[in-house]
Amino acid sequence: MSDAAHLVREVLHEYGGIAQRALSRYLEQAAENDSVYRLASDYPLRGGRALRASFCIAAARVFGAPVSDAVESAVSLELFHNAFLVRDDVEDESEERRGKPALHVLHGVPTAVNVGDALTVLGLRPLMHNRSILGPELAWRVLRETERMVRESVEGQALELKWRLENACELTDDDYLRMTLKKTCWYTTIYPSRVGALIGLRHGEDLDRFVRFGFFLGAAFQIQDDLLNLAGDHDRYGKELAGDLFEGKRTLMLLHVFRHSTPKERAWLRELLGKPRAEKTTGDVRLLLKKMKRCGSLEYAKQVAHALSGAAAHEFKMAYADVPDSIDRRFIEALPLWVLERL
Amino acid sequence: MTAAYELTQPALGGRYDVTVYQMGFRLGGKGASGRGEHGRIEEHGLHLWMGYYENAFRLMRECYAELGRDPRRFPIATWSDAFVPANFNAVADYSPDGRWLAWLVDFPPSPGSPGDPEPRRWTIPDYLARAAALLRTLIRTVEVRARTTESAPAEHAAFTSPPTLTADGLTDALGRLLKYGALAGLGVAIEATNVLEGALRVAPALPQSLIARFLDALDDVLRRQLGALLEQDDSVRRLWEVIDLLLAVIRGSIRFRLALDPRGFDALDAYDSREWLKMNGASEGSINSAFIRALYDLAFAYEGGDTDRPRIAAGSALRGAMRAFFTYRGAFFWKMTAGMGDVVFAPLYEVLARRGIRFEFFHKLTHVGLGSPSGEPHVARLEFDVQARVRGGKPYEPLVEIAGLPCWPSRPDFAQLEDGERLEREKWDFESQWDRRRAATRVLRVGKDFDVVVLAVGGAVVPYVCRELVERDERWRDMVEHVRTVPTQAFQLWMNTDMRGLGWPHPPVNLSGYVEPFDTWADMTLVAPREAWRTAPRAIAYFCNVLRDAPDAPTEDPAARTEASARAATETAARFVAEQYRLVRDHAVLFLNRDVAALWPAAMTESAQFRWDVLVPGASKARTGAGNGAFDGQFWVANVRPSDRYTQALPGTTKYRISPLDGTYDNLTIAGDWTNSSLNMGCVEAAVMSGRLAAHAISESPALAEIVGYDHP
Amino acid sequence: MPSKQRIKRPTLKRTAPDRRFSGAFRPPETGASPSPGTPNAKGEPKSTKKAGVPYEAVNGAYRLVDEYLRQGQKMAEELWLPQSNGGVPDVGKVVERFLRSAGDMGTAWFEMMNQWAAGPPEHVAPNGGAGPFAAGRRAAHASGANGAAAAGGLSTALSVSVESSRKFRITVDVFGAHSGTDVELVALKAADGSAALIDDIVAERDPTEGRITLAVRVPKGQPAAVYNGILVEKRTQRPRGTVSLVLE
Repeated sequence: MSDAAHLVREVLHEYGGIAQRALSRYLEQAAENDSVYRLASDYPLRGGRALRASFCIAAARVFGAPVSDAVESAVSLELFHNAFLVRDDVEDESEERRGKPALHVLHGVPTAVNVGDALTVLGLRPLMHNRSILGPELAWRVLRETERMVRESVEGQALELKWRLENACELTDDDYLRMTLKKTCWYTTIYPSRVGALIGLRHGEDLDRFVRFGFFLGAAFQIQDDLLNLAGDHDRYGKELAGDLFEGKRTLMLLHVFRHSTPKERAWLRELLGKPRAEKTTGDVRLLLKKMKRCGSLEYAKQVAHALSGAAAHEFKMAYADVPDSIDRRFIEALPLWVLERL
Repeated sequence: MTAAYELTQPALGGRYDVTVYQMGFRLGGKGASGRGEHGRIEEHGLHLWMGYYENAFRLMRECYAELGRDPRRFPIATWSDAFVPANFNAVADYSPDGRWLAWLVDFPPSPGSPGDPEPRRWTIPDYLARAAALLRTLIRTVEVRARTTESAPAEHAAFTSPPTLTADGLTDALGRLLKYGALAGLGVAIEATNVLEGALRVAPALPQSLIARFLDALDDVLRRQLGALLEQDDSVRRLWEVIDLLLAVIRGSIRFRLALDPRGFDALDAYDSREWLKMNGASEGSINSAFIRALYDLAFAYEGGDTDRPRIAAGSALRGAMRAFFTYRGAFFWKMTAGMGDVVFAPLYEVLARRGIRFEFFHKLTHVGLGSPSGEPHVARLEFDVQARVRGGKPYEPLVEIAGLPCWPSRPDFAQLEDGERLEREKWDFESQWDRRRAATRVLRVGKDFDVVVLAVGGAVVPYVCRELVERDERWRDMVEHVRTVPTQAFQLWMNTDMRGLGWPHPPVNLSGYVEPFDTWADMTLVAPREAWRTAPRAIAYFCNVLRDAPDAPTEDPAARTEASARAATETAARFVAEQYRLVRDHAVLFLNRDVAALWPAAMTESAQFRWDVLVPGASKARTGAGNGAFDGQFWVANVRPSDRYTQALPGTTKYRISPLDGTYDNLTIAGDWTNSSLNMGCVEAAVMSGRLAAHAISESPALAEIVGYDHP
Repeated sequence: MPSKQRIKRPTLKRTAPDRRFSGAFRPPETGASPSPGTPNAKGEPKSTKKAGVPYEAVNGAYRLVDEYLRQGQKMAEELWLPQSNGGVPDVGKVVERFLRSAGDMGTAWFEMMNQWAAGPPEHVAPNGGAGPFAAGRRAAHASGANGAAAAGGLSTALSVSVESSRKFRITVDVFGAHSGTDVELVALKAADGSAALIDDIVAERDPTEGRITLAVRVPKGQPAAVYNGILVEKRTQRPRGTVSLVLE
């Protein structure tokens, strides 16, 4: 493992640990009042890397803020993240999450929806605590950023659902990127870097540079995620293999294979994608995967992910140009490469 | 012509069979020139080439290389015979006490020549850093003139080594500037520009607000230092005006985050230049300075030709200014040593004819007909008026030899034309879209007579010939409505006294920013040897200016008419053109009597009239001597015909230009400075770039990376 | 209709200039080599198909995110939500901070410039032009500093008149030469932090002379104090100077 990968691992461990502990405290307190919060603790307690929370803390520290200034925002983000996971799993009809059955599989869809709401509500609490830690004005700004982030995520998911409902197949890479920007990048990479800068600099000027950085980084991250779903190590990955194909998720690879298919193949593909999850056979999915490999769709997506990672590295220089060297800076600097390697 | 040139490059192996259909008897459109009595050059106006016209110069250099003229036989054989550097320029400064003074500027020659390979690629941070460097030079100049005493605190020395440009470094420098600004002399300001230059080079990476504060601190220092001096000293005042403008440009570029905007300078095109400068802190005095006036004059940037409405798109203008000032090679301006037709279009014509291109003169396009609306959008038909036929069905020979040089005449060779005497007698105007007289009509059909079309008519001709496109396609409608042209006026004088004798003691100059009705003057004595005078004139002067759009200009669509009404329309148009010519003559006479005195003090009589006797008498216009009748022997022109109008870059209109690369019609591309050439100004360079783009649209050659300045902020 | 297939233009990969010019992702162009006659005979290296993928992907992604950012700004302005890059400068707060530290003019002035400089320029709509050129016109517009103050070397046509029953002293300080631009005076606030305020200020504009007169009316019973206010340019909201009124 390279030095950079080591560094990332260590920082994730340290900041992730801080965030997890704070998160657990919130959940415990809440669970004392109502059982729904006990259920809500399920996903967060299953583990995970706390990448987003760590990024948020590092992004604040890199501008000189103490950890304590950023913790509440980081925890809030993790809570929202878990809320999104619950929601996504319901909407995608996923079966597994982090090695265990998905929440709606265990408790039914209505309960899962309610748990998602509970997590969302919980996510607001740390932001209110920000008021005494950051002062009312800065806390208000963080809240505004959070509203934006949640809204973008909802809109991104709505777009994806629309595609699924309409069985949209002739989508472009731009469509995919736009959806990813909203659904994934905002809460995974854009929000942490923006809020980190907001807290660290104590002013909200010039945050657009983080949108670019966060977009490229998050997009590379998501495409790599999609690739791992098809070809990755099941244990490490945390979701069932090729689950995306069963879901009919519109990934770059899927769009690519569609573009490069004959009209006959396209008709078959369209029909397959239109089927509900239960009706898709393993044979179908295996055939689709084979076609993707033959058309070079996986290779294509890999190249795009690499290119976007490169763009992220470039934008990092622009966004963090005036920041002195530190472990936090090196951590963020290492992320563009790390999202591809994920070691 | 550029498109034709590119499509027939040897490297393309003769893939394209090109025919050029030209209205009238000359190539060049607005750039055409003719020869009149004594072989004198007769131009549409003044054509100065700028040292950043990389594409245009490269074209001409290649052309002359291919032409391979024998220098012993031809007075203009190589490109450097044709184009000479013109570094001595002036703008007309109007001082606060009401005097007109020539502000002379001698631009330093720059290494290389335009059209040399591998021009440097500039980014916006580069330009801003250059602007800061220029600022430093100007402040130094002021310092010398103002002879300020500097108080030099010990820490002053800390500025001299370039600071590391982190935000911290800049903050430190800012702090020191604030501390010493009010007290220290201009020396501090000069050192501050060092810091500024470094900061601007890395502009996107530094906090914008910090740079803005630095700019304001610098501005403050300068104002305090110069405030008192401005009233007294004209040269300090002028320099201050430029400094003020530079600060506004830098400040505005930072505020508008141009370095990061993917649209580059286009981001500013909704604004007028002066408006934008004002928004960014330039004072009234500066936006009315000679410098700015000259820029607007040279770009004919007056809406409707009304000099009370100066308007030009800020982005395109700023891009043009940045390229003009910071990227010129060789000289800032280059002058042609003969008429533009002789120097540019005759060589191009010869080279292209040699390559096998066919030229059909006297073919006036009247209509571009599209295929059926339900099918693929394409050009199906091209309709022409054949204005005249050549005797014996031979191709028309357009050139004449004057003083050893192949040239275009000012009038067609009627002897070559069928019924030539009648055409001459009836004064057929072959270069006017409005003169509907013709010998025949002709229709070309797709698949049979042509496959692909390059539409390269003048911008103002488009509404006449593209009625179907305009009707069917909203973008063409928008373009025709928003991308405007304007008429211009010009006159030329041949004089028997040299400029010194007329009261101009300085070297030959190009001067702009002067009064209406003729704000631009160029000394063109250098072309005298190319004309055919028995005794060469001692001085030649060209003047030009915008001309106000007349409300009664012919506009009706000439195509949808009966024979009778076409005749009537032709006559009305001819009368209009004649009236406009008379108007220009009156303007010229008024100018010479009233306004030229400030430039040529010795050109006036005691009764403050122009000394008409300095004008070389004309041969055919026999009235000599008596008063301004002598003027009749000179040359003047009203460029009111559609194909002679000048394309403007008005604010908010860039987005309506259509690019030659636009593929909506699968066998049509367009070329001309009215298209979206990326440069988007009315000039030769834009025209050449558009021609290269048109060639690319058809053949994918030249590569876009080869079109210098296409990808440019 | 011709029976054979019509010859058409090729479909172009790119149809617009790339003004980004960051220099970061500029692969060699594919396509024809330059002709032998060119001064630049150096050919461009051929690019493989693979190099095209990253370039196009990144280019497309840049275009996407930039368009997104532009729309975000516009949308944010249309909704009541403040913008994504830190919010609209709060004039009231800035004025307050300025007045509190009015003693340290330099810093406060730059703090304000800081705020204004960060503001999004899209707020200022194009106005159509800056008026005709003034050169050569015999009727020059009025110039000359007014008010009881020294303008900093460059003159402006601004005057301040005060109507008050108490004795007063007034200082006007104008930055830069912006004769004729429309300025307004929002209010004069007591510098000692009390809530006392003078806001009966009427602006009279004389367009022919290019002169603006700000008429300040001090109400009866207004407490004695030092009152300060900022002159802002109406259109761009940029500060143009300060007014200080000492009521005795």
